[in-house]
Amino acid sequence: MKRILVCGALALSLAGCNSGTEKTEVSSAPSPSSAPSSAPPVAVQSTSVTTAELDKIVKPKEVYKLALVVKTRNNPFFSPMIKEAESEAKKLGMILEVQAPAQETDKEKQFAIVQDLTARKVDAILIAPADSKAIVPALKKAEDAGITVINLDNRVDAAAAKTGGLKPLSYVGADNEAGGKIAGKAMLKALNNKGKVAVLEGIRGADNAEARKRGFQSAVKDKLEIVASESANWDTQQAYNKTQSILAAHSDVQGLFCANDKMALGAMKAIAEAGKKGKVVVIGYDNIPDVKPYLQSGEMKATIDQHPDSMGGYGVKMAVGALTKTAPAGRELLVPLQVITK
Amino acid sequence: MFRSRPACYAFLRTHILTHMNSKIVSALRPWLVLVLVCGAFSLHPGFLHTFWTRDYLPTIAQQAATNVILAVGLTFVILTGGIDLSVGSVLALCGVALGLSLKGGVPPFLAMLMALPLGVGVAFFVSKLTMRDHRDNKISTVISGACGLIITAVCGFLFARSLASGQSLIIALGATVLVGIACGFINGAVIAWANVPPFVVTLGMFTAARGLTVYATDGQSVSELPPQLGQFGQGTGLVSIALFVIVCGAILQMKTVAGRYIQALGSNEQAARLSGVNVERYKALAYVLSGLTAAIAAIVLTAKFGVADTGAGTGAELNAIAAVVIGGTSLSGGRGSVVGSLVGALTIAVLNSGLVLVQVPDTLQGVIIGVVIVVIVVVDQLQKGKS
Repeated sequence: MKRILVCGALALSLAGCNSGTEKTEVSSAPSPSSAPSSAPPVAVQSTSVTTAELDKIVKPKEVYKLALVVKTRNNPFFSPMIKEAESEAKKLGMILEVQAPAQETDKEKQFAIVQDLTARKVDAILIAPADSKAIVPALKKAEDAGITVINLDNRVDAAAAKTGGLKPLSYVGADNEAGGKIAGKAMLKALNNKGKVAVLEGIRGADNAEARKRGFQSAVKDKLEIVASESANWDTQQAYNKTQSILAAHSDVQGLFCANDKMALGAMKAIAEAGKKGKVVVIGYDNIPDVKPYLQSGEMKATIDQHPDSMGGYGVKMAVGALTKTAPAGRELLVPLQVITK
Repeated sequence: MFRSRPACYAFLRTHILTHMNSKIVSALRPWLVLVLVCGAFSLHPGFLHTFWTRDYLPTIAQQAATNVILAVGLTFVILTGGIDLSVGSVLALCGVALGLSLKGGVPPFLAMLMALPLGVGVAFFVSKLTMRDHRDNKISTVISGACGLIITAVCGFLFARSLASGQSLIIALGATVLVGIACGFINGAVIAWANVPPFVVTLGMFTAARGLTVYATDGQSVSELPPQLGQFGQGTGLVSIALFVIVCGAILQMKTVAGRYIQALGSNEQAARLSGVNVERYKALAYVLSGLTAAIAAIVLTAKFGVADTGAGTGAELNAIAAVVIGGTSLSGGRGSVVGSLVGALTIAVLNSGLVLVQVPDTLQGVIIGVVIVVIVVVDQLQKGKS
């Protein structure tokens, strides 16, 4: 199993990640490590915390009640996060409960869940917000009630937090823009720095979708020509349709970046049906289990793994660290991004 | 024990429900359900010690507010025997209209939509005037139609120009309400005058309004709205808006001619028509009310979060329908009440947060809510069968 660890993304400052475009410095360094959540070498800044620091946290005497609130369970991205958080909580002797709205876009239900957890006075809330701005008032109330809040995955909007009077939250997540850049670099490598490519974007306006697109664009700028950039709303079926149209309109397209693997599945089906299997370089994102056979057959060149499992695990560690005062609060951890090629 | 299923129902009716006076029961039943739900949850200390506190009870009111507002409008539609599947999408469109009106950048088609209710209003007024003078329906229709079109076009143009840059809060709120009314009117007009089933028409609006929302904003949410808007989305502001909507809705339903006509045409359309009720007009009015409440819900929701996003209100129509049905309003029309819908929406809110408070695993919560909704309606059917 050949995996390339990308660690430079860890060295990001808290402020620079949500809106900046050119603040990320990504360096890819080959590493023999095959365990994704083992501590990689890390460059530290004052606002960030290292995985090594968090790994030192031991099982405390007290038992704390933690609540993990994700966007929804209907998205395979969150299952490894939930699983790892549950097993980590077990290891540290914590009680962890998971809450999630039925629909990913239901920010109102998520808001209500946070209110209810606050009323119940859990010790810590770990949250992947459905909306990075809308959740702020609920989190402020939780913080006022003395609850430790840890932000996972989708970062709470810095400006909204400031107006809402929220203190800087502890954060565990991935840098989607850096991920997009890595995908762009993989594409450059596969196409020898020249050619025509297309992009299948996620839902327009969603932070992670925009960041992945931005990262990819900035990586391939001036080298590859992006002939089409369409949104398939993270959806396999829509990606299939969009890819068919893209291939019809641009028969000479040589590469396709799909902002998630679910879309890549649809795209690869369309590519195969057009008789272009292997002629179009497909790069995906998320490394869901379904793409494994495609990576092995070479139909998919690479995919980016954001390690939601580490987000869950280190989120729990961070919460315990903050509750027992063994690790500083208000810091952030960016989990290592990986390019998976096989 | 029972020879047949009807015999079983008959047994239930005679032995369990007979002693209840059906009229009082049907008015009190939603409240009974709410009391039962609260009572059952209160057996759990986690609920008992958190829910019944001065800190928490206002939270429940706030959580229920949007659904309450939507359910009030929807009650009128369901009273006619119709359905409105579009309220969630219309809510999103209105939210975006509010955001864009405040920040600037309202696209022309949205401005036209805002002008539509004004045009229709003028057309209606003109038709009343001309009918009296000429006693000729055709000429009157043409004249009033032309007036309506002209007003719509002129107002639309003016709106488009003035809303291209950001406007004051009060104007933006007005514009939002107009969008809601316009969507409701389109639904109602096609249903009542073109005689298309409400399910189909509002399903179309469900898709189209969501599409327009994305089209108007290119899928981006509208954020950084002025802070004054926030007062409508929290605390006293939010609760008083919801109360105002309920009181107006209840008065309209119970104390006005329009409310009684809507109920009458839902119970027996032919009879209502024969007794001189302008069935089409009141049917359309019900959908207009539903659009109006969707707009008010949009204001509240946008104010609460300070963001107007294109995904707002996804699935809200189903929650609102559930609230109306739990509230005792019959999906076949003619029977029900606005106050019942309020209680229905409160019941759903208590269920939702109660399950979190008593620590039911989130994977099971949906199942429980679904089962409770059906059980409530089954009991309702048993009781209705008796009377």
